[in-house]
Amino acid sequence: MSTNYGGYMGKVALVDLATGRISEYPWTDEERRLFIGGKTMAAKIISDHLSEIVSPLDPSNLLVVTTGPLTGTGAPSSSRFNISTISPLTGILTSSNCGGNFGYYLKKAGYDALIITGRSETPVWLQIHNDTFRLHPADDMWGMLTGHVQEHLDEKLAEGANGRKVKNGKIVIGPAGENLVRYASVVSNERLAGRGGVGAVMGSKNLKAVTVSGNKMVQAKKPEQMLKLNQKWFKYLHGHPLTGDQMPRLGTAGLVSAMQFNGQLSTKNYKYGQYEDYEKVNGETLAEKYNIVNKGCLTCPIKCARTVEVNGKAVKGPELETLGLLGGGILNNDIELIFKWNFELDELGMDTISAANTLSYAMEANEQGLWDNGLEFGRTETISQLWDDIAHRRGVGNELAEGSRWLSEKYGGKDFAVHAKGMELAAYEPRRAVGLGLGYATSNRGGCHLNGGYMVIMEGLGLAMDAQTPHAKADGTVMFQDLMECISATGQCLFTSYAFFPFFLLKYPQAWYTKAVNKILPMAGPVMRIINKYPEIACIHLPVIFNQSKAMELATGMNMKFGTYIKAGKRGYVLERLINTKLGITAADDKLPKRFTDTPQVEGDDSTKVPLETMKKVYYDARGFDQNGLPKEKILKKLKLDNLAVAKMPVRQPLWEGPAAAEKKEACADGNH
Amino acid sequence: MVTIKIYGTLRLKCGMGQLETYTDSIKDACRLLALATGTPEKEFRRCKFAVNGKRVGLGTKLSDGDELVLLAPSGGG
Ligand code: SF4
Repeated sequence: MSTNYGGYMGKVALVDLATGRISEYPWTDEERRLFIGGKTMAAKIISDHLSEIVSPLDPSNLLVVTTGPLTGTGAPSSSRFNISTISPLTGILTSSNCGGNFGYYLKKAGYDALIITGRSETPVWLQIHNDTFRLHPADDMWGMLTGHVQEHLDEKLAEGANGRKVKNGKIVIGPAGENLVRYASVVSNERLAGRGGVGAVMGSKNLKAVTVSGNKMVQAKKPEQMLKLNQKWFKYLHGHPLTGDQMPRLGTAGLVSAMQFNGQLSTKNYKYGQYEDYEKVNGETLAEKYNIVNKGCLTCPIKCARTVEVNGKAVKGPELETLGLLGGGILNNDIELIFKWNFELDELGMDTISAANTLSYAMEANEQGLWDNGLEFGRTETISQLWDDIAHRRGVGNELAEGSRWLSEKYGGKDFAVHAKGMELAAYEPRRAVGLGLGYATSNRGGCHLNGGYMVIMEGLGLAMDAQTPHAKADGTVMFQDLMECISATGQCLFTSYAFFPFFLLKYPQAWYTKAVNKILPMAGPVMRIINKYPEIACIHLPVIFNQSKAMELATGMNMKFGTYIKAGKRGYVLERLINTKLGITAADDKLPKRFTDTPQVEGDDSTKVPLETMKKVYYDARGFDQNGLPKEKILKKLKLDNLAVAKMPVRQPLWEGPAAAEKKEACADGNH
Repeated sequence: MVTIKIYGTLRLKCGMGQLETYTDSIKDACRLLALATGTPEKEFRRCKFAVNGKRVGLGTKLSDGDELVLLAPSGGG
């Protein structure tokens, strides 16, 4: 199958590991127009097979690796790829984005996406070169760490090419994926598709790795205009205070100090929002004392990744999340330990956010006498061993491998098990950025700041609208969730969206106009509502600050303006929600732990709680959902989702299995019915 | 004596993270920082400020023993 659109390769591969059968998956231009690529495309594919998926770790689950139409067009920061599946951590749809080079090479092989189904009887790795697909035994690689297996694969590929180094992209899992740790990640180079346990799904299929290479080229529809736009865009990103200064100089780690300043830094399992030793684990310390070189994903002018030394080796440095959660989150002030743990978690193939939060939950459960597990805040000497135990499911590690929701169901402490829909939250404490709290609660994949719309960028990190007011937060959340959905669907990094905020507002926080904007923003809900309800009225490209829609038009040839771009994002977001509602999600699941909704962060100041229920009502209205959180027929029709198979599907039993289900299964296996 | 701490990219640009000095206002502190580092004063004046952990504006007065934090514009992560 081919395509009339530029930017796409026109083919999707379907690999059934049970039979070894490779086929082309039908994907039409109409689907390209409606579902763009990335996580939105993956959601559509999964939605078409949702009724066939038995459980997250069953062979029937799909692992869908997608690229976006901008990947390979030279657009800035556009090499991101996506992995979606039904998550073993949450039991609902998850999408995990990665900056490794797999997506770029998948397109070079001539494919926009790769769908993996079934389970191989024995461990295998898949080699793709252009249209040649080969499954190889991977028994010798089973158990290998992610860095080692990638080196090993390079050697294998070179062996097959008379010793010549083969340029390729890879996705691999580590021991955590093999042992079905619910938050196991997939690794590509040094970058991770970390969230939601995509690595466990890959492990459940006995698939250790995929390599891909090829010699095809991505063709933009209007290459010359695209080139000119890209040149201007790179220049704009270079000149912007966030994408051209803060992110390159400090990386995401640069936010630790700002979050501390705002009371937004998770401390002692989110009990507090400020950590007294933050200076020892912040981005400035990392940059001044440890950063060796900035690194970045392909075609990225921002280069937000750090490089640090661990055991005499230059390795990827930690992101803000890891610094925050493995610093103040567990009361650890040793940044070098965080570097080491970050490296170990990457090598074992585990999400640092979920691992850290599960650990801090366990420490608090121990402190409160709910679970005697020997883990204590501030005690760090056993943690490296603990990561290894989790990845190999040994001892207490076997239980920690299930994540904080599972543990809180077993041992209690649900009020401080910091997750939303089963996914552990990022390092931002939402009581001092209540819009972000709404984002966490409503995010389709569970507790994610980015998928949640990242309102905190207007609540003190960037702009400084009132972080405690619920006003305009619901409409802002909807708008940014939709916007980020489409950015991601096109294959671009979400960090490019920060340049959406005009530079003078960020550079001059004390200027009268910035203060005026901050004052006006809580009143801007009705204006945002118009965009949310009728995105198509914005039938222009936003000049300078938002090049994304123009880039899509030039790359693909689709008629895409700012409004249609937002609408495409909205379609993706509502489709993901629709899938989740068929897996039992309702308004009752859009929640946060009581620590955030019932206990003020500042004693006696009720404004430092998240007024979630108030914001949710407005949010559902702005989304076109009923008050039970279900998409109404009208919004499904408007987004052309009403005729999809998933829209007609009955609601299924939830697919997440807690400790009760596991005990029941064990009892059945023992014959104790 | 007032302790001044600088965070964000400005700290890397001006090459100084902390200064202890005698000053009675944030405006004067910015002037002193410019003198001490050779970085234009406006770079300091455009920061966000906090005194003893509380967000304040540029016009705030300082007292002996205060800790002034300057945070250069930041966001995203
Ligand atoms: S901003 Fe960072 S994460 Fe995004 S593409 Fe660039 S290097 Fe990768």
